[in-house]
Amino acid sequence: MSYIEFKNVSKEYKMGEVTINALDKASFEIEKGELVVIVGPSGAGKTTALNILGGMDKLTSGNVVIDGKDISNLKSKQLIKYRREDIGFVFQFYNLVQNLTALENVELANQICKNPLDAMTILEKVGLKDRSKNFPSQLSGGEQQRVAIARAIAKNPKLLLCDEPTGALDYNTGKQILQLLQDTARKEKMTVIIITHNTAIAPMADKVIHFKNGKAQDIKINEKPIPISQIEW
Amino acid sequence: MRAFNKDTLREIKNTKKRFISILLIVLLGVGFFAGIKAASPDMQKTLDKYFDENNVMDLQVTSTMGLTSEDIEEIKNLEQVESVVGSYSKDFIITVQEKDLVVKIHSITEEINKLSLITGNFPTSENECVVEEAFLEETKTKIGDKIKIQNQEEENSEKFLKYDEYTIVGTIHSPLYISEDRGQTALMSGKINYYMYVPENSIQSEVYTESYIALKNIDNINTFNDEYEERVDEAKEDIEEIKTKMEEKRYNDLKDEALKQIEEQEQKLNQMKPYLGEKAVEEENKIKTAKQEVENMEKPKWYILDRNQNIGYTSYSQDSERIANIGKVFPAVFFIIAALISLTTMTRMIEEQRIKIGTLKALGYNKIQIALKYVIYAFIATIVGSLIGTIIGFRLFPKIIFDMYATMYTLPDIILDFNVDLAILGFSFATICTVGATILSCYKELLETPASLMRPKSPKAGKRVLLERIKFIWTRLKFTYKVTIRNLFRYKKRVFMTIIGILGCTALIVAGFGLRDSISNMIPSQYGEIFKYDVSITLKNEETSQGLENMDIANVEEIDGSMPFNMQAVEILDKDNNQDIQLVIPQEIEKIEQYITLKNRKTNEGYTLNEQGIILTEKICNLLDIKEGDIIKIKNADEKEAEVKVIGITANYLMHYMYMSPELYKNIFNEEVQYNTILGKEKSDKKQVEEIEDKLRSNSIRK
Ligand SMILES: Nc1ncnc2c1ncn2[C@@H]1O[C@H](COP(=O)(O)OP(=O)(O)O)[C@@H](O)[C@H]1O
Ligand SMILES: [Mg+2]
Repeated sequence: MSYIEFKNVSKEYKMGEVTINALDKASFEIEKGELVVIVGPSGAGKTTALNILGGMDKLTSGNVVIDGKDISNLKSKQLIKYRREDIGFVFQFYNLVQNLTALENVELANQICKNPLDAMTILEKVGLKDRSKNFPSQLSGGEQQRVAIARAIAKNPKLLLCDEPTGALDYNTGKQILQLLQDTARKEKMTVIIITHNTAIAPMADKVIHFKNGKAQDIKINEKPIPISQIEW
Repeated sequence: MRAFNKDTLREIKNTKKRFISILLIVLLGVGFFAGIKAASPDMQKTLDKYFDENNVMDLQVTSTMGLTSEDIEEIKNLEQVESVVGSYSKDFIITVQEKDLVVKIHSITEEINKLSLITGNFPTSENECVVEEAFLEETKTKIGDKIKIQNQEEENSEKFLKYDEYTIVGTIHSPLYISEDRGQTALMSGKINYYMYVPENSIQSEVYTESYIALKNIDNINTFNDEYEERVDEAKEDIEEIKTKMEEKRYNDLKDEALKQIEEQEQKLNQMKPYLGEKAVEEENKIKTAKQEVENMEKPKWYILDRNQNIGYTSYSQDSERIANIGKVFPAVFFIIAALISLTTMTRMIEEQRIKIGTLKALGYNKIQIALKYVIYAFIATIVGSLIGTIIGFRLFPKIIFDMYATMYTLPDIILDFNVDLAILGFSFATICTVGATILSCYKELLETPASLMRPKSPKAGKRVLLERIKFIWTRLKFTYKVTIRNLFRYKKRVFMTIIGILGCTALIVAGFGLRDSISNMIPSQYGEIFKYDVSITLKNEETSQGLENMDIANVEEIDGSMPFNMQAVEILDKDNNQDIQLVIPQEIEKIEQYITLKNRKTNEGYTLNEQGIILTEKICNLLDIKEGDIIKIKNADEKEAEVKVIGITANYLMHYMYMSPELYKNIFNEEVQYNTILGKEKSDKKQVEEIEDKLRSNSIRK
């Protein structure tokens, strides 16, 4: 049994008369400590899958089992606990709280966890020790995304979920962010899932999942993942 | 501090305008609420303190034949009574600057109804007096001037005042006259112009005209409280108990005195009889009639009055009640607006922060924690707003209201209290409004999943509106109108809030104007619509029988028509509170409508009097819960009781009245109606009341 099992998951959105099948019996498995890249065209259901995995959305049918725990039918209270304890999320547009400094944004996440990592240490790790007292508006996009990653890691989660983390960044900054994620996965032995529509970065992953029309159409395992620094696109 | 709470506090700093808009509307709402609500208690407290400081009487006893020191002693012995003073007062005509004025002259009482000295000093010798400030101003006299008293010589009684001339030595203010009304008199036009005080020993009346009573341990009770009224009523009952005894005693004393004198005369006559001859019979007859007169002498009657019979006190009390009534509904509008503004503000804030809420949820914060963030935001605005609002409100509104009344009353400065109960109540209402609005505006968002919160909210789908089906209108509309109309139906909540907001403000404005109109229109309505007569002539008691014929009203050319009425004070006997009310009996019931309108206020249907029952004015019926067809018990001026049926409830704006036909009066009280008032209408609208007055006066004097 794998660490994460995504089994026959469907998600329907009802918009008036029409029903949109964002996920249509999608299935995949992920092992502990894997760095997974999910690729696929826009509208393929990648975000929906990640949201369900992160306990941020409900599924219509199917099962999601993480570390032996079925999260598909959790009560709202347990779901909040799951998000709080087990999940770190990195968003495309960082979603930092504007009223809080970099350090406080990290604290915002780790102050409600059971086994958090020290906020300042993590900031140091993402290379933002000197900017800890800066507000998001005083940071560049890449720096903001690094704060967001620090915030996700500081919770010491089982799963780090990243939805197009480089989508809003330029080439070099994006690369640095991916490097940071790859390093984190390797050093912290964290299970990391990255969504991207850029198929070029797929070689960095242990596993590549191709989404199309709400299905995980193709799952490839990279025997030898390449460090991101060696990938050009 | 936790980062989460830091965010809440910084949110306030970073959205100052939003925060302040909630704060301000709370300030306004609570300020208005607390301020207007506090006005009435503050007004009452001010008067209460003033009355306590000047030791204003709680009760007053007068008698138709004066009060003896024995009477005073008897009252003093009552358990509840702290102190009693006998006092004198009488109305006089004085001439200043060739103008006749009516003044009520009181004796100065040291203990009760203390005067406040304004300028000069209190009299030190018997022929000095103190007057009210306005007297000096309006008569252009000054301290040191002398005042000549006119009507000193009365038929047989001796002079009331020792002197005919008094020197003004100071100006004072009497707590018995807080309003401008100086009361009524039988002299001249019937109105007293000024009051004036002279030393007690410059009055040489044998009996006191009234006595002022202060009750024990009553100063710490507010005079407007029910408890005060209860205490006064208890004391009244005590006085009531000695009343008959003392009336009887005074009657017997007077009778004995008179009979003794007649007897002396009789004896003298008997001695002289042989020498008088023819004349003796004449003298004997005189003695006979004198005896007869003594036998027919009316019994003295005590009247026990409390502060409610003081015109200034009652009108002030009514005014303060009126303000209290305004405070009942008026501030509610502000709270509704406060709730609406909070709702709009918070809704917008939460809509703007969907992604933040989603992020917090994704991080693992629960609904209550997130809701608290916004609740605390609104709550802090409410606390600060309420605090400032109450502080300003308590100082501002009672003062403004009091100052508006200050032109009508002579009182010390208002006492402004910080009324904790009201402050808490206002704060609670405001909290319910703002916190309620906040919860209302965020609970829907909090139920959404983080995923949907973070997805940009798709704008509401535009809907086709009914108007589009009416092609010939729709096609003629400009594009912007079409969009506006569609949006109107698209964002129902916003439209709804706009409508309620405008509704609230409009209601406020209308209420304000309505309030002003209802106060300022009351007098014109009463004297134009209800009371249609132009002149009212009150006849002295002795005149009632022949006075009517003597009054040559028909011959006064300015008068168009007139009719005699009986007006007397009667009491409605109710379970828990008896109400004094003016009874009006027209001589001819068919003609009453020329002078007084009797009609239903709502339907405008007229009423006619008949033998079946009485007609009452609306307000008294509301007060005593009387409905058409009810049977009520009444007591007339001669203390006779009777039961009557209410056959109509008529429109009326000032005071309470009861209308009755003379036949019914005769039936229930077994006595003839004494017509003591004449109401007349003027021929033209010129309001020649003064001319009419002069003519009538000279007419009746000539006769
Ligand atoms: N809340 C929603 N309501 C309706 N349709 C949605 C909603 N969320 C996603 N969808 C639809 O589901 C499909 C998958 O969306 P998504 O998972 O965001 O795709 P991806 O992330 O792969 O681009 C899309 O067609 C999208 O329009
Ligand atoms: Mg996506």
